[in-house]
Amino acid sequence: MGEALAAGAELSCGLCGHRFDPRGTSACASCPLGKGCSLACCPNCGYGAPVPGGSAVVRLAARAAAALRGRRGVSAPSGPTLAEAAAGSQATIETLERVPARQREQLLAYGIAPGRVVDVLQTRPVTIVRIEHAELAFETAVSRGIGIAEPSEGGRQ
Amino acid sequence: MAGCKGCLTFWAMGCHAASDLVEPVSSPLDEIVLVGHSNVGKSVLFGRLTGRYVTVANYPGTTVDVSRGTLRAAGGAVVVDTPGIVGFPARSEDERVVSRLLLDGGARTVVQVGNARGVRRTLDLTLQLLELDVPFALVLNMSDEADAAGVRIDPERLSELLGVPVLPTVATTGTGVDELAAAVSAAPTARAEVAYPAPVERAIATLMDAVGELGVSVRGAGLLWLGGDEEAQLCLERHVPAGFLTALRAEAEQALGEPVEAVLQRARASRASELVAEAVEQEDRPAGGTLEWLGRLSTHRVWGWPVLVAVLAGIYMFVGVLGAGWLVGVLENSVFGRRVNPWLTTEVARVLPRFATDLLVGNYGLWTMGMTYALALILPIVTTFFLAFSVLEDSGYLPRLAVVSNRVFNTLGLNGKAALPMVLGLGCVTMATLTTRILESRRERLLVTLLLVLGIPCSAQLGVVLGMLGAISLAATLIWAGVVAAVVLTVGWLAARVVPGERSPLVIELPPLRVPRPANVATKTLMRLEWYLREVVPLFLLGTAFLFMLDETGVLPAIIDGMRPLVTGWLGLPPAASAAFLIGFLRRDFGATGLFVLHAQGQLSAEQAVVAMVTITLFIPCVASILIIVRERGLRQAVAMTAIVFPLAFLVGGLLHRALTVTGLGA
Repeated sequence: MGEALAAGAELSCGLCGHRFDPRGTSACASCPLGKGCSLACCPNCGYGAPVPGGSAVVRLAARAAAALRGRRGVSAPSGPTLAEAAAGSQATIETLERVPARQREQLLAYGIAPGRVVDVLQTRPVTIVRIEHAELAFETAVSRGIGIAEPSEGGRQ
Repeated sequence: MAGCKGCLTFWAMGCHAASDLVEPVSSPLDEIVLVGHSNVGKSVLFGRLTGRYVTVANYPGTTVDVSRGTLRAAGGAVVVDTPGIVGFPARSEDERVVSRLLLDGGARTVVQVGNARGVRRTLDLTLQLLELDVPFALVLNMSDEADAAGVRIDPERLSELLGVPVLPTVATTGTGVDELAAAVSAAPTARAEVAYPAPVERAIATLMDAVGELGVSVRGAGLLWLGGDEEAQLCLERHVPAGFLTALRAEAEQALGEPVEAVLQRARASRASELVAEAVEQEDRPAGGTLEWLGRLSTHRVWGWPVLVAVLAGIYMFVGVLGAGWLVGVLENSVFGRRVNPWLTTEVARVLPRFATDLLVGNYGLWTMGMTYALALILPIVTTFFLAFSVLEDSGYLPRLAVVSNRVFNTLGLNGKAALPMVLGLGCVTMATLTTRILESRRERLLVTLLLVLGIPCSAQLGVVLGMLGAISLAATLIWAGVVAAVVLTVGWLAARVVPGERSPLVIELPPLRVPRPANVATKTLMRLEWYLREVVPLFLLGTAFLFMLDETGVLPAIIDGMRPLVTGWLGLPPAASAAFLIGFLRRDFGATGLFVLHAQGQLSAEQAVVAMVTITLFIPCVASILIIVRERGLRQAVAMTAIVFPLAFLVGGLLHRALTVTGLGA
């Protein structure tokens, strides 16, 4: 219990408001269900409070939600990315700053640079774009790092 | 095969050690180097210029080493074909080959081969190459495809702007090749007029003062280095004090306020755009057509898989049913079994003494075993496979396979690009090991090499397996394929977690799907068959002679007896299978053929056939592949792989024998 909590972090009891270090709750050591338990019992009132990050199920659900958000591209911190552009649209590249350096060099070598317009041909299972009659396929992990201007519909095919 | 004969040690002078010097080049006309992006037709052009054929295909990375030939047209100059590059800085091993070659300081003419359809990208590289201050000519290849796509280039205007010859060609038909051969003899040196910001020019000027003579343009090498090219850095580091380059870059970046690579790229892109605006017109043409539709289908998230299944089914029907089934049946039974071998055995026995008769036509006879295996069993299989594979290569499907399979390779810590060497491994694992150079990191090259030697059967073995297990039942083939795939995936998954380093995401160019040219398919197939006959037949004969000598001296029965606990006790196979495993150490397809014959003679049950084929499939492919792994990955890794693969093969075979016995599937 409490293993997922950062060292020194305190919990506030939801019932009595008492603040305590969940790793120091003496009752847990003697509890037969203590191993793997994601709750911490308040030493003041005995109320069981969930430890943030303590539940494997919650962590799994959070990871799945993050992955889903990532796929939809809604986790992009600023502006739309190529991962969000629809197949068949055109996109104007604005930035490659969030693309890993090695892949950025590759994209630049193909002419995918700020200001250039690409035709988005496909988005799954990888992104495929056409630039100047050359087709380039790259993973969503890369297209998520490519910032674009607002996509327009009806790109050339 | 072409490419593997090229030697990396002929680079001379300049940035490379004197020990590398083999053939110094005295005049630019003595050597002409073809440089360019991947998949633009350099190797086809090389063939046109020299009359020498190197493997060409419709996917990037076909050439991973340099090839040399003599120019047919004039003066006997040497023409060098180089691996295609994505651009500078060089990233993968094959790109470094080009970078090193350009920086070695030898006097030579550089001919850039570019794709006329992607002229802006071509010009970006042109500007980098012109900075090296070498005699230069630009070839705009595939100009027929550019015409079809509505790209109108004015070569005269472009030539005027660049100050070098610009020649449109169609290498596959030979259009423009004679003009090129004439133009290279007078190729001028021109300076790229790219306007770099003052801090970049200051850094280059400082570098030129510090370096002095380099044997190659210091400005060109310096700009490559500033662009992040590690080969250029290695080259310059030999001429300046330690820390000089780091300080110079830091100073330039401080003045620019951003990474210098980005500044250089932007400046070149801007100049390339100006050139395009002056010399290129783009007509709007409706895209589409059946091939483009097929191309889309083959990378579709859902339909990509049925397309893959259809391709595999087609290969199975052509190689497994037609080659390994019908053709092998005709040759083995009708031609060799009933006519050639009985006649030869009688004639030889009549003329030669017993020892010579046994050596030629006995149980382990050079003809009755070595040549019969090579010509009656393997040759029809590899012929059909090479034909099918050449069609697949030229169609441009293979890079699309990389897209479809990317997710599978993701679980192995790789990206879909690994599919290219893996599929090439179905043709020849030795050549595929060389092709791992197209992968970007040492880690990826190591992982793919391990998977290649472990579980990718080469064409000959695949044909034997399909022919033998296909004749038993579909279930037998599926069990073999399932077990081998499971072992490859498990070992790959584990290795990806043990070998340090990170997976790199997939970035790959997709060439247009094309209808394969029959002449190219036929040439490639014949070339590969020639390689097969030259490399494989001697090994088959050597292996047969080895077995014959062991048999004659009484050692073979002792070895078979010694291997009994492993072969009979652990794998549950008859003792005679030991001889097949013994020659399997030399070439696993040779061993597989021995097992094929045992099965044909009724000495192996269905269950034993599956166990034997799984075991030998997991062997190291052949002696040649071990040698190439030593060359590419080093002795330690080659020894480590061998030490893993052989015990694992027997372990999996024994476990499968027990699993089939317990479940009753083997019956």
